[in-house]
Amino acid sequence: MEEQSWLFTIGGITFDGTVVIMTVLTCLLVFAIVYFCSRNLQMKPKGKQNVLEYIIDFVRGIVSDNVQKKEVAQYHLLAFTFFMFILVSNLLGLVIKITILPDDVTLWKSPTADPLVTLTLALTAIVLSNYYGIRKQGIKNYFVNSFMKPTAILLPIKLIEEFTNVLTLGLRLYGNIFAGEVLLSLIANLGASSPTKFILALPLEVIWQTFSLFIGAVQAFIFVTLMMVYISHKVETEEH
Amino acid sequence: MINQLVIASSGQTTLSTILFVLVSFLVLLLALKKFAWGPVINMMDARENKIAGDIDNAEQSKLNAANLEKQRELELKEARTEAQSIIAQAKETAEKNAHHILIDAQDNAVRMKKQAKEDIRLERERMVEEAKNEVADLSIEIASKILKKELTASAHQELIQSSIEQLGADDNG
Repeated sequence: MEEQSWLFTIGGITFDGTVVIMTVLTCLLVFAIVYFCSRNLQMKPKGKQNVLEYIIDFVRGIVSDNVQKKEVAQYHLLAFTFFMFILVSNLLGLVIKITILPDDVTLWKSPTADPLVTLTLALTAIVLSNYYGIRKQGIKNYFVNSFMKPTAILLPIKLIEEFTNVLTLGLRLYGNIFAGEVLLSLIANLGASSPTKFILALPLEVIWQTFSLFIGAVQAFIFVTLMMVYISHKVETEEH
Repeated sequence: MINQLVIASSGQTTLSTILFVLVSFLVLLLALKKFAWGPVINMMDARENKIAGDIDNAEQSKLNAANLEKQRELELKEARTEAQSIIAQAKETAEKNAHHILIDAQDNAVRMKKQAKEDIRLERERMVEEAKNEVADLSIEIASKILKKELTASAHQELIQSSIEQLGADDNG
């Protein structure tokens, strides 16, 4: 399972071509979906507008579970973008698999099946949570509330926790999606080996794709939920 | 640590990938904000407000309807009592009038009876008087015829008396 990414170099900087292509594709897809669904909005919504509003409402539910009512709008777009980006990323990799032999260069995969992508997203979420904490409480209060509560002895643990949060948040997503894709590839390879096995492998593949679909949606939900939990820990002070 | 995690990409692309993902994510966020987010959220808020307003209006309408209903009931009751009082008054008036008419009629009848009796009495007296005079005149005439002479008033009177007594005696006899 030594998959290679397609690399290219621009001005001395090497890029991971596969991730670049898939990330751009994800962004375009998310934007296209949202843009398409938000054309000629009606007070009485029809099909596509309903879909969009359902997702927006769903994300609003996640956000409002964790922060005060008046602050929901502030984090709503961020949470929504994370949710859509991760959801579309997770589902993209299930559609098709493109490899170029002989080097086994993968051209198509979920961006979130790459640890760097997920860790970047996780880091973004954690950095943002700290940024919001500072912005709301000021440096001193933020530091005390975040790292010195309930006692100052916990300071080192609390500091380390920020980094472990990044790792867990990123790697949970990566692990789920990457594992799903690996299994998909394995089943596909099994099916490619002989006609009888192909007939056997086809339903397996379908079942696993369905399950991966479910996993992808759940992981997007979990990521956004945890992000909002971390943000609320930094922003809500009177709770603790 | 990161490098051990990285399976799909070699170490040389780590930083570029991180930056690229970050930038594209931010671009996506801003694009969504600029082109789609505002209208949708506004529409959803507007709908929420509209629904809340509609519910309030509905409640208000219900209240109004209930009030009107109450008022209607009240007015109906009032109208009923008024009608009843009007009818009662009319009845009373009619009864009073009837009573009056009856009393008047009775009075009239009594008065007329009295009047009639009185008239009859007077008439009789007058007739008796007339009869007396007639008799007197007749007797005088008769007497004068019989006696062929004029009588003085006193003789005359006596004569009348005697003749009347004679008449009465004749009647009795």
